[in-house]
Amino acid sequence: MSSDDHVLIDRVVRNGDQHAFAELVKRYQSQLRYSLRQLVGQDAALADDLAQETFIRVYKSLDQFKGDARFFTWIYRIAYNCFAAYCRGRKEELPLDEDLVDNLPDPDPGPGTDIHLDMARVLQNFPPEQRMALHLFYQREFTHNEIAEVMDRPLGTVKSYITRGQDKLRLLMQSWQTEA
Amino acid sequence: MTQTDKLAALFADMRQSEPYLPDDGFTARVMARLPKPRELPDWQKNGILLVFTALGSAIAAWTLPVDAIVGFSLANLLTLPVIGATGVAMFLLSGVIVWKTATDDI
Repeated sequence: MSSDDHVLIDRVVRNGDQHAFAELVKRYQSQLRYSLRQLVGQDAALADDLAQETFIRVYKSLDQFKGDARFFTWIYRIAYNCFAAYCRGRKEELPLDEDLVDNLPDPDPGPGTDIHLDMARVLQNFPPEQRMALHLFYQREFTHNEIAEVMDRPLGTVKSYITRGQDKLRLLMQSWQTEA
Repeated sequence: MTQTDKLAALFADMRQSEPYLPDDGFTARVMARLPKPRELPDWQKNGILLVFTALGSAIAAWTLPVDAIVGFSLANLLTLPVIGATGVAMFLLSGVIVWKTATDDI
């Protein structure tokens, strides 16, 4: 957590300073909204709804933030809860593995190819927990411990999500290249 | 290049090309949905105001020579220049009020 974050958080908690909270939202909105778009398959409206819900929960529970973790990690913990609640409500059905090959992003994309959109589509074929773990590990470069903290799962479980996800992605890349 | 390397390269590329999403009113929408900051109810605010007013008055009465000030003020108010100045001020004030009433479209 930057010292600047700490000052803003302190102003919100002690004085209820909403301008300070607006600064925090502006600081992290892009990264969080991008992450949620990746997780929900580039549905911008849905991702923004989840991001809004996340920031509102962050505001309401900011006094519980102890500062022993990065503020960014803590935001993701709340975002994960919002995302998991959404997935539980939707009861997502996962497609068969064979369908994944059609959606895999080109590992060497040409100009005009949106790898972000392609990866978001691919991630839809993974269970929500694995999707979140892969995104945090690869895109946000969180450590295994940080991901375990965000997802409130044992370290071994998180490592398993990531290893299995990697294996699946590698397999898919291989299949895709064979087909290509 | 192994599959692992390709996967790492793919995500490295994604990290580098991650777009910045413009705010476009997102922060404003979040702020509009936040609960209002906690405020004291009116009866508590009025109570605090009353307590401090009473406290201030008590301190003033205790520290200032109230009898001397009141006696001095009354003696000075009853002099001719003060009565005259008050009359002129009231006359001017009445004129301003009448003029203002006449010129305003009320």
